[in-house]
Formats: sequence, C-alpha cells, structure tokens
Amino acid sequence: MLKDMMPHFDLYQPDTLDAAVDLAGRLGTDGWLLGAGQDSYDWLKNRTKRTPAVIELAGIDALKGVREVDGGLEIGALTTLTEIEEHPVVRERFRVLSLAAGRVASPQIRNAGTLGGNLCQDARCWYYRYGVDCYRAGGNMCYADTPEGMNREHAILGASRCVAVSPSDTATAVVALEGVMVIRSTKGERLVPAADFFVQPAINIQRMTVLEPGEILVAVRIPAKWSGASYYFEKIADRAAWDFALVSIASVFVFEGDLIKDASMVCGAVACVPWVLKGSQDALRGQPRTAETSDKAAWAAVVGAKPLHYNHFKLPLMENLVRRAIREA
Amino acid sequence: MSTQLPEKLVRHAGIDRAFHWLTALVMTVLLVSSLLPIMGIRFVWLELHWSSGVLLTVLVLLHIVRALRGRNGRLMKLRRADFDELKGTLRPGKYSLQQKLIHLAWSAAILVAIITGVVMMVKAGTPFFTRNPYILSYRSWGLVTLLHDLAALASVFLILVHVYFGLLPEKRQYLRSMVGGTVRREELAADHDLDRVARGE
Amino acid sequence: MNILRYGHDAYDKIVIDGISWDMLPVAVVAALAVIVIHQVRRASRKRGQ
Repeated sequence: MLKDMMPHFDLYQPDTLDAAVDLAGRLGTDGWLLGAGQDSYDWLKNRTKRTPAVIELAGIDALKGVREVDGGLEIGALTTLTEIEEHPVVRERFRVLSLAAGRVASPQIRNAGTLGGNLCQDARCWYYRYGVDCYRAGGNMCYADTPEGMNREHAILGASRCVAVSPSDTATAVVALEGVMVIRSTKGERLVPAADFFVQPAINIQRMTVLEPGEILVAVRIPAKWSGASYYFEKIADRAAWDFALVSIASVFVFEGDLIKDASMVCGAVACVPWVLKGSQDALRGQPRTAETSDKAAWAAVVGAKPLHYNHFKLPLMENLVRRAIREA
Repeated sequence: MSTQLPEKLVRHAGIDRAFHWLTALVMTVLLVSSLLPIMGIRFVWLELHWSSGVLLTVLVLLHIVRALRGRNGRLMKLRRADFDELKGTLRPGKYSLQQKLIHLAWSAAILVAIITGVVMMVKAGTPFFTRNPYILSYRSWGLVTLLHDLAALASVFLILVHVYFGLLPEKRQYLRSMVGGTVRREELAADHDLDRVARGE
Repeated sequence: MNILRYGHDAYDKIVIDGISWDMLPVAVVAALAVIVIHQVRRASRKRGQ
C-alpha cells in the first residue's frame, strides 16, 4: 500500500476570518484546520488520519501579527515562530516567549510554523503517531506504558492511561506568562486561560486542547503582568535542533531585592499538558534566592511523579532545571 | 401454618437492606462516572469509577458469602416450578418469579461487569496491579471491553425497570420493606402464599 | 446507528473495540417500552375488573 501520497480531501482557502469561522462551523468534525501544516501533513501523508475537508487559514491576514494591547501583547495564531522570536517587543518584554519560539524545531520550520499550530499540535507519542489504536486514538490500550514499551520521552506526571507528553515549546512560555487563548466560532468568541486550554487525559483522553469542532484559535493574549520580568527558558533535547524536548522549563520571576516576590514556572514534556509547578511557585514566594530555596522548589516540582520504565532520568533533569532557572533568571 | 406468622413480618434484615441501598448508590456512581463523559460532560472519572468498582466487588462478595451461609440464598434460587406462577397455578413464596428473575438479571450484569472490570484494571493502571496490557491480545481486550459495555447497558435498562416497578403503588410493600425491613401480613398475603412463606420457601 | 465500535490491532487487523454508544439510547428506549407495555396491560386489567 502506498504511504507517500495524501488521500483526497476538499481544500477550502478562506481569506477572511468570518468565512473561516463559518466554514469551520458548517463542516464541524469534517473540517481540518490547517496553519502551516507541519503537524497536519504528517498525519495526512501517512494516511494515519483522514479528513473529508481541509480549511487552510494561511490566507487570513487578521490572524497574523504581534500587536501591543494594554501593556501586553496580542499575537495572531498564524504569526510565524520566527516573527515571534525576532519581534523587538517580544524580545524586550516577554523574552521567555521569544526564547521558546526560537527553540522550536529548525529555522526552516520556524519560518513557516505558526504559534497556533505549535500550541495546538497533537501528541508526538510514536505509537499514537504510527497509527495504532491506542486510548488517544479511541482504542483500548496504551502501548507506551507497558513493561517493554519505548517510553523514554513520555510523561512522568499527570498520566491517566495515556502517557504522551505535550510537545509544544511555546505552550510552556505562554502558560508561564499567564496567556489567554482567544477562540472564535459561530457561537461567538470565548477566552480561555492558557493553563486551562490544554486537556489532561484524565478529563479527555482523545484531545490535547479544549478546542471543539468548529472552533478556531485566533490569537493569544499575553497580559502585562510579567512584562519585563526576569526569565529563564531551557529546552533539553537529544539534538540541539529539530527535536522535541525531553524536559523543558519556562519561568518568569519578580525579585524584590534578595527575595523572590513572585514566580511562574512551567515544565514541558513531563506531562500531557504544560505542567505548572504550583508547589515550586508556592515554595519560592517570599523566599530568598538561595541554594536551599531552590532545592525545596526542585523537590516540590517532582512530587507525585511516576516514572515509566525508561524515563526515570526526567526526575533529576526536571529538578536541576528548576534549580538552574532560579539561579540564572 | 400461615396463622403462626406475626402481624408484621421481617422481610429483610438490616444488613441486607444496607447491602441493597449501598449497592444501588455504588452502581449509580459507576454508571454516572462512566456514561457522563461519553455524553460529553467531562471530569476526572477513571479513579472514581474503578474505586467504586472495587467497593462493589467487596459488597457483592460479602453478599454472596451471606447468601450461601443463610437461608436467603435458597429462597432466591430460580426453580422450574416457579414458572407455574405464570399459569396461575402457584402462588409465590417469599420471592415471586418476577423478583427472582430481576435478581438473576442483576447478578449476571453485575458479575460480568465486576469480572471484566477487574481484568481491565490491570490495563488501566491502579495501585493494585502493575500495569500490563499484554496479559491479553488486543482482540481479547476488545471482547472484554464489549462485555463490560454490555453489562453497563444492561444495568441502565435494569435500573429504569427496577425503579419503575419499585415505585408502583401495588408494589409499595416491597419498597417499604426494603427501607424499614418489615411487611404487614395481609399485604404480603395479597400476592404471596403465606403457607409457603411460613415453610421458608 | 452502529452497534459496535471497531478499531485496528498492531497488525492492522480490524477488531472489536466495544459497544457503540449509539446503543445507550436504545437501552433507555427498551426500558421505557417495558414500562409503557406494563402500564397498558395494568390499565386494561383494571378496566376488566
């Protein structure tokens, strides 16, 4: 069977947001939303997933660009990752997001890849991507969380039958900055805090985000709260480029003298959602920036972690990233 | 012999009534926790579901032990002669044909759900078992899941039918006896052969 | 309306995954049918008395 040709689908190329929303509403589950296609084409070319129709959003200018709004930013979902990485306001005031965008994949992918696509991308578990009917695909099994499963890159936290991780680098930064997702549909607009945008498998094992059929992520709003804050972003991966994270961290801090006044820390690739380090944040607030404080925060970060057969290394890696983030922000 | 029966008869002991209502509550939690997410109402359901399943298993095991030790197990046994009630040639003892049949149906549905559910716990990941989906083939898991799903559907059907019959005015004595434990002799006499009841049939 | 859900095993063979949840309303309707039939029979018995 040929696996290098895409199956047939109807291609819609709306040039306005209203037309796209209308199409998405009419087509529902039959309408596959396409940004740059760097997640979509894998699925379609491998024939692992099929769709009757594709709605290409690339022609909608209203979904592109970075705008300053009320001291924060509104970033169109179709803004490329390169544009976000290099945008002067993002670099100056929300540098953690610039760094995160700049670590996605490779320059070629970042030149075409979009913020919305990076945030909404599907799980990268190789069993799921291969096309076996795992829980996430609607089946009855998880092939990764087994005694012999190749689960080196899978979750250590928040698993519930599915152990795939959130692969998005920008998601950690957007959640750390307490971003808000702007979602449009024929029913109107709704705003979802970034931390609530991503769905744990315990709640819905077949979805990565709260987007319902017919809904389009149109923009991400970054509030002014963490504007100009100290930051730290690091992505640990097997390769320096074009690889998904083994563990990543995006963090922002507000210091008052020697004390950590406030902190927002999010780890990627340790859970199915960007993992907010609530325990670490609570351990840091009002505390001095010392080795002792960062040790407590590091230990708090891995509370409840359940490593799989091949990913125990993620625990010390996560702890050390937390220490490094506090030390070097 | 039926005249030896007191005015108020003890139909269900306290422990049996407690079992009934606890089981009803646990079954409701099991069905709600599994079916609401399917209907689109999303919440963290898996831990609630399997821990209720474990509780149901304990309750059922205790019930089976009690039934096998006491008289009630024999009283609930379905016999060929019970079908004479349909012809009108036999009046029921403690439990009518209808009651025995509903008990049989519930037993079958719950036992299938428990057995398949416990097996599925090995796959889902619980503190009781090291997760290992390879104890069965994917095809076999599908059949186990199918049986579990069928037991769930049967339970939905049985709950609706059981509650309906329980609330009928002419069956009110049974509901009262399942709450308070007792039934009046003349109420029972309307639908049951008191001589058989007195003989322990 | 489907009766069963189907999936694929690791060898791409079609297997049964479970019941189709289109059957959930069927279970409810079946129970309602029993209730309605019983109510009709009960009413006709009362009229006959």
